[in-house]
Amino acid sequence: MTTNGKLYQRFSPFHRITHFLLIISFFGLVLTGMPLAFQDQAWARWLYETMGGHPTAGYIHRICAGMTFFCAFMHFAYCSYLALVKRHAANIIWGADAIMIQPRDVKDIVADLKWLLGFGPRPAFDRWIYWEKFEYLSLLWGTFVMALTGLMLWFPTTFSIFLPGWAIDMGLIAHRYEAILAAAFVFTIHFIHTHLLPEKVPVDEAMFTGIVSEEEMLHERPRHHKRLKEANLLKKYETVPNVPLSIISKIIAVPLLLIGLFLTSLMVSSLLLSLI
Amino acid sequence: MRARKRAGISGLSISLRSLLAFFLFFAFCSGGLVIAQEIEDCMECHGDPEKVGRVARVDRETGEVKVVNMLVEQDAFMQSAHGRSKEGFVCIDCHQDLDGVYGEHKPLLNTVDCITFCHDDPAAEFLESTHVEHMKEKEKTPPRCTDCHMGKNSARETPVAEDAFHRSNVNKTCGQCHEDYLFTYCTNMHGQLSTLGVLTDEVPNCYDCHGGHDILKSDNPDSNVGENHKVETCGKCHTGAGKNFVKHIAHPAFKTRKFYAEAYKTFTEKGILGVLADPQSYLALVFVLYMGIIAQAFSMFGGHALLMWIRTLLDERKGGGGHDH
Repeated sequence: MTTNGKLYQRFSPFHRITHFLLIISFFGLVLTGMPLAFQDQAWARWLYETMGGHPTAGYIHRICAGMTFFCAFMHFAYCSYLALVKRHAANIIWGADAIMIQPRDVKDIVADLKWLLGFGPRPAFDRWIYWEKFEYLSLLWGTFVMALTGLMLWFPTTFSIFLPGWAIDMGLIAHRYEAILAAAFVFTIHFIHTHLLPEKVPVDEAMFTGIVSEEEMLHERPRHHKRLKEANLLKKYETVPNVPLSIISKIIAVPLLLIGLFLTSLMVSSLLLSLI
Repeated sequence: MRARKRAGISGLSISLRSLLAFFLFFAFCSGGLVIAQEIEDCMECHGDPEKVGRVARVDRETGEVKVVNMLVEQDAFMQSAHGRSKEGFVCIDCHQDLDGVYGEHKPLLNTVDCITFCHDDPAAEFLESTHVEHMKEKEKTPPRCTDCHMGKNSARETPVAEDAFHRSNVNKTCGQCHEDYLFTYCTNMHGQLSTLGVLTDEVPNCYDCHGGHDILKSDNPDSNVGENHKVETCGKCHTGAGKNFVKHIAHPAFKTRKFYAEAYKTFTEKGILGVLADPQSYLALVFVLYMGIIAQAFSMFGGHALLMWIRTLLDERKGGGGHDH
């Protein structure tokens, strides 16, 4: 991040803290859960023992699940606050500031494809880019599936009061493959979108410091910048650099990135080896 | 000094055995005739790689001739249940056809009879189990004691099912023959955990659900996992398990080709309703759906991310960040 030029606040402390909690819980869940899906691999056994083995790894998994539930709860509490107190309900689902998919996104996708294939300029995105919206929605869906199936596996006898035993087995399969999908998606696609592009590598600090430079904003989301400028809101979001937080975010994010990439390489290589 | 005759009597009840020993002791003292070989006598050859390291052996069933190693590890034997026993068993107690034979013996000994004189108790249950009955119906040789039990190689004094060492061997042992079932068990939570090395009785192995000597086929209502005993068997760990709970599929087959082949066969014979009648189909459906979602998500977004990475790099080289201005 360049320090000359104006800086703007992109994420509020609320979002940064819940995202950080989500990171911690997600890594806890993946590190203690993934060995089960790859049980026949030596690294899985090593990882399982490193995470405390039976039953410690299971307890860590459940504690992290609780953290995820808490994040989900906080998110919906925040949405309710926006809708009920601030009366912004319409803005959440419709408009340029909404995170739900809009007709405009179809145009953006076409423009993006043109740019990717070399037929056009870099598209001018607004506050949320279409793949960010997709990632948000898949996080919602993924958390719902993982929470439901996870609870089924946590309390199988309770669920068997109204579900047949094989429905719980379906829950295990959904839990396993949704986990592999989520972990691999976050550790590759999400990491590439946010941190690993040549212009961002190694870490995009926006989600940790909450700060984005004017230059970055004009490069990535010029439409958002234009909107704020026209509404005379840019001044409101202006902020000062936060060097200690920037350093801390690098120290925390780089190892997590490496762990994620390493885990993905283990998963992919195990998958390929099992196909041979 | 060990000189009483042991062969053939060690399996009788303790009192009867000591009584016999008592008589035999007197028989020996009064100028007895019976002198049996010590372990050391056998080890003279079976401890010498030059003598028995490579010997020809004819397979009892197929008649195939193989070169085998007939070395015996005396230390291992002394650590096994038989070796540690107070009875002080020696080789000929089990290999009875060698009693009184010195020097070189015939190449193929009789099969060791574990049951008749010693282990007649579990054997009675075993002989009524599916392992014997069903396999005889199919004209196959039922498994012998040593196919599952390690016999002279067992490294523990008491072969109790609760012992972690023995628990660690159960799945492997059953899996030698029941390969498919071991694989499908590992597809499920129980198997996942035991493969990861959780050997306590918190995670069931084959034996915990199916039973041991008295094992019956799972479609027999009287088997541990049959209709009459399912609730009880699951309830050993899952307190409160009821009629619904036991519809659990302990051996999900969605990762085996056989399942899909059979499902297709059912489909051609009975139509889609026939396939849907088997809950295994629902598991396979979830699996196939997820494989599709995963493949689609990664081909789309993987391709997108790769292109974006390349395009960003190209734009940076050109300067101006790719914008028109």
